[in-house]
Amino acid sequence: MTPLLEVEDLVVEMRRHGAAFRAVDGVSFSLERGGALAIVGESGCGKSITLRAIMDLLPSGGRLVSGRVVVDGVELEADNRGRGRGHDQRERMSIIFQDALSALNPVATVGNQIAEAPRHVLALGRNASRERAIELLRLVGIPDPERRYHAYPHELSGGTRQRVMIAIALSSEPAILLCDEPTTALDVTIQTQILALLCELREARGLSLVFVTHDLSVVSQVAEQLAVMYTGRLVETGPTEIVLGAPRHPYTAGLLGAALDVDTPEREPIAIPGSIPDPLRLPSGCTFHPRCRFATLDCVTTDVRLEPVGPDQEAACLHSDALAAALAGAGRD
Amino acid sequence: MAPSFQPVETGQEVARRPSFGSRVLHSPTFIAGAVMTATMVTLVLLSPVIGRYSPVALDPLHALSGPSALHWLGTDELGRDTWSRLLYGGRTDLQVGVLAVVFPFCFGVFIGTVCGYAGGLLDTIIMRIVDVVLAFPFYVLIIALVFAVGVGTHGIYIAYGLTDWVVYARTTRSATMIARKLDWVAAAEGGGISRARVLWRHILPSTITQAIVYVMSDIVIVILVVVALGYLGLGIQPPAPDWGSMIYDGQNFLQTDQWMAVFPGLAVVFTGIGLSLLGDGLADVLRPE
Amino acid sequence: MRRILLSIPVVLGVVVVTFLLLRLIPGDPARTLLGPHAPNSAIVALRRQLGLDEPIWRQFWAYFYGLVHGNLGTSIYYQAPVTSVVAPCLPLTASLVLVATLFAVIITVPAAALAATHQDRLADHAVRLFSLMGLGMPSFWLGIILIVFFSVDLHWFPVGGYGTTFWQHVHSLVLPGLCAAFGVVPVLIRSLRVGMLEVLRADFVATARAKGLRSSRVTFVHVARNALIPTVNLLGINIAYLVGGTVVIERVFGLNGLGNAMLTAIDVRDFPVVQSITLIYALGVIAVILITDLVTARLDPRIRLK
Repeated sequence: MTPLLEVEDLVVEMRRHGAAFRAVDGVSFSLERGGALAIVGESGCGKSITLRAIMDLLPSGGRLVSGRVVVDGVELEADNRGRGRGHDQRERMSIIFQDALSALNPVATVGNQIAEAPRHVLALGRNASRERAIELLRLVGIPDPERRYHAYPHELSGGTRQRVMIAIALSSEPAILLCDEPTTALDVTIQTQILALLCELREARGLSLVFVTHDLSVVSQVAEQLAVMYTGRLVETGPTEIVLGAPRHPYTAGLLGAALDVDTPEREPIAIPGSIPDPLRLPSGCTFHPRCRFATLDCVTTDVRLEPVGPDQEAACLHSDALAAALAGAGRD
Repeated sequence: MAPSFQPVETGQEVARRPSFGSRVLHSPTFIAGAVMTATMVTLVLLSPVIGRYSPVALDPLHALSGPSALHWLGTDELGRDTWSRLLYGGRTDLQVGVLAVVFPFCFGVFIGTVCGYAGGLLDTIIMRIVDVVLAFPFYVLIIALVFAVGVGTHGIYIAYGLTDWVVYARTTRSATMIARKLDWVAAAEGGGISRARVLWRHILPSTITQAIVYVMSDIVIVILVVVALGYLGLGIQPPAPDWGSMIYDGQNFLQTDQWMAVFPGLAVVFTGIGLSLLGDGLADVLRPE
Repeated sequence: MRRILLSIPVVLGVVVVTFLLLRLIPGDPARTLLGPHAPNSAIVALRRQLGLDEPIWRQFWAYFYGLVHGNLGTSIYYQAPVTSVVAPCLPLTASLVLVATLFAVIITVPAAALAATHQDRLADHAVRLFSLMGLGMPSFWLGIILIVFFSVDLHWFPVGGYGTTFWQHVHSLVLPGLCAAFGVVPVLIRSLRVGMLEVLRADFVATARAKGLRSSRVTFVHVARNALIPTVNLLGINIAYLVGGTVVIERVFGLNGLGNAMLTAIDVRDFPVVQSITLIYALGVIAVILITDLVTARLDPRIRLK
């Protein structure tokens, strides 16, 4: 069965103050119909840009260099000017952003914003769009939808705004929902509610999800597949449970706070030493090597790629076996 | 027995923010502005040397001549050499321009910081005064004040001093109010440091940046005011040379000698662009990344 | 309507300031007006005319009372009510400000929009260069240059004056209006460009595009509607500067508006006229700012008072 979404070798270049760098450097993944993939990484690793590149909504200064995006077997044409993809493709994909306040038009009522796509893209009439908007408001769990229709974004709470954004995303009847850190700005209780809502919608409407976040604790609630991203590349992919349980890339392990310090076997979360490199001056070979306990000279000189390390798991590390052994050993002690 | 691996030292560093010096060199705006301003300043400072005549020396035989070997930029209706007058006039205008912003800057930043930090009744009163000053169209107020306190350089200083401080006060006040709420300020205060010290050492350095950047545009504005007042006869009084009065003189002779009015204006434009670029470049360089 | 109430203290402050204008210098105001060589009899007469013998608060009250009843005092020079001296000048200045504002908007908005939508490309740099050149340019000097070029050389516009018919008025206001506009256009373009960039970069534009809306709809309904707010705001803030610039422009082009009247009054030291015109200008600006505030509130639901 062909995957619903296939991303092949996406390369995105960003320009900052005249200098160009690859924010996304050869990212590939696929999403099954009804599946959910989480992309995890620290800020600046390129995960948000990936989503925007797929939707062709790159910010100014961003340019899609190469790569293919195939939805339901149809390759999408990039317009490269951030104007978004064509009409029929809109019905396949939608995106929700992290900051609902800035992602909603401040001068229009939320109802009108939800009704906009049905009215102007799906070409429903004015009343039908209104009805659809109210229905969607109810679907995302906003009480008293007829009244809330006329509210402005700044009048609503953060959680409600996020629900509105989801409603807008659903209004164009997508099959795929791209989520760019939608829960990061919310506090924990609301976070859980929104995540539950997303799961519900997934089941009810058969939505497929790509969920980007830097918060590992969230991924197991949302997605069965996990991809870890570092400096614009995927360093590990696989089923969420397996990757979280037995990571095969030192960065993933680092993120999980797996202690590899033999002297102190208690499980204290340990920060990964060093910090994220400047994208204009990336380390050679495996970009993680300056921060990696397992690094050897090979890591500096070899261009490390994702290799299968298990039945469904891939990792871009020359020492993934050593890592597995170390973790197993630490677990035993 | 876990294996131990040593991380490889490759000497590859995480990028640190480039130093002030290197930022300066990498900002084309700053360099362009600095070059232009330096050129203008050097030229006018050297006026006794490169100005070929005294600015008030008359040469009636060659009055109203265009550019020539004898008078590089021509002469005015009294035979005074335009090039020399341009240089000496620039000296006066630039000098007044720079000096006039000193008081508004100091006073405005001071008042703005106090208001932003202390708030309360003082803040309300001062801000009302600011609003009143800002309600007047700028030139109208300056002209009225110059009329009231007298024309000439001292009039300009007083008029500008009375009106211009409000802009600095406003921006510094907003910046101070924002800074006041920051965590590290609360930490400094909580640590038992006196309020004055907190203001001086902690808050001021970050809030003053905006004011410093504005000084450049302010100098441009003052120079425009000086020139405008000179044009109206309310500024630097003759026979002292001044770009503004040169433009006025030039206007009377538009039919015969179009160049008289042009050169002083070009000088103003050049200075204005240089200072503005410098201000922009300064903003780039000082911006917290 | 709260805003109107809030401007009352400002209005009062303005009145106080104009009142105090003459009293800024230590010494006898009448002597300041007439100069050090004036005979004592003239000074005494002037003092009586201006009511300077009264205690200061009485003077202020007289002034204020007069203002409320539309009495701006008596012109020393013309020995006639200031109102009659000043009133004929109002229409010209008001028209000039209007024309200048129109020009400012017509030039700024497309330029800023062009620069913002083509950020860091040729159009952007061209616009920024253009506005940079304008920053240091004295608008009255520009006026002289334009006169030389368009009036003296090309005869397209009158060299000065206002004309008598409506169309002559319009015709003679073109160059002065342009000049006055150029006093603020550079600053406006810079600020509006930044404001528009902020709007263009905002996530809600991405959301709108993501919906699949036509480009034109995104531009006009989403971007423009939001960019209008900083535009109107900016205009209000800068209108004071624009108005101030017209004073000198009137002199350059020989237009008998308020500004020119003020300058003439200064030449003959006619204090009541100077004082009144200053007041009129300030009140006008306050009124315009109030209007722009109200319009902005209408446009932006975020700042409507509940």
